[in-house]
Amino acid sequence: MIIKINGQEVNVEEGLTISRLVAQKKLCRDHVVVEYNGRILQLADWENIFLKEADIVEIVSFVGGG
Amino acid sequence: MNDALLIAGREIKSRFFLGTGKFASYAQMRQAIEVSGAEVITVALRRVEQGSKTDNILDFIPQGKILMLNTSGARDASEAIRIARLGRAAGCGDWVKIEIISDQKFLLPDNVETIKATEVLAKDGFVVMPYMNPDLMDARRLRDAGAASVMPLGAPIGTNKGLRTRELVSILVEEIDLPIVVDAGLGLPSQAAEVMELGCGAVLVNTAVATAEDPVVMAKAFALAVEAGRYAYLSGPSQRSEGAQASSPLTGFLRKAEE
Repeated sequence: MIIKINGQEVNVEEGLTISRLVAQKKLCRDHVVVEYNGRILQLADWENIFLKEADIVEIVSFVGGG
Repeated sequence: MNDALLIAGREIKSRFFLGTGKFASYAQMRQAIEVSGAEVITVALRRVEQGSKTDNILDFIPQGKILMLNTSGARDASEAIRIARLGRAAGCGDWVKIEIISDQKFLLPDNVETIKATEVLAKDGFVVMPYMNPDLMDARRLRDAGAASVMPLGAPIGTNKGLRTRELVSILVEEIDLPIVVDAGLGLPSQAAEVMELGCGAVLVNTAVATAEDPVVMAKAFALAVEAGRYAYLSGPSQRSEGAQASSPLTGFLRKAEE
């Protein structure tokens, strides 16, 4: 199925959780924040959300900035 | 003398705010923060890349600092609001620097969108620090929308040109009953001192420090200049005059009185 991650369409397997997605992308879970269809997720929600077709996911982290 | 800057009920001793972009390493950034004594530190949010196992910048910012999330990358109010909320959810606290830029050549802030975002975020409990073009009426609108300070630019971001907006900023100092924080464009400590001598509340510097040959020493230099400028302002500078005014007595000393 196709979902949108950080503005790009990506093909992912059915039934993928946010937790698994972050792990698959080899990201450190404590360093990122995930927005799911416009809603900011708490870490505790990551296991309970199963991605579905056309979902929109943003994964962001802190960087240096002025 | 207690001359702490008061923003949203918080006493801030250092009037030198430091940005964290463009440092060669997080370790160097941490040293610059420590050496300068800066208490308000800006950070930003970015989309992560696949497999970006980079360090977390927040681990390199000493405890007890005020983190201020810059909404950089936002092109309108709705994007800035979204970034601010993401940052707060991620543990950045509720201080936010609203930076909304729709002009990519000069990176000038969009005051209209900034006012809209300020109104929403202030109601949402954020301490809102808007980066703005120094326009008096817009500064009033920002104040009325709930801004905790206003942050006019000295010159376009990263140009190191100094306080090119001096006339307009001094009007804000006179008319706006909020701390005026000059943000962007300052290149040298002397320029930061000039800002403080005008009566501004603080300065925010990033590029001039982070891209100096020795950023740690430059951070210290800025912090000292900000302090010096603040003392100068508090001391009530004496007036300029056209003619010379002797500072030592000029009465006859080697001459006879009747000559």
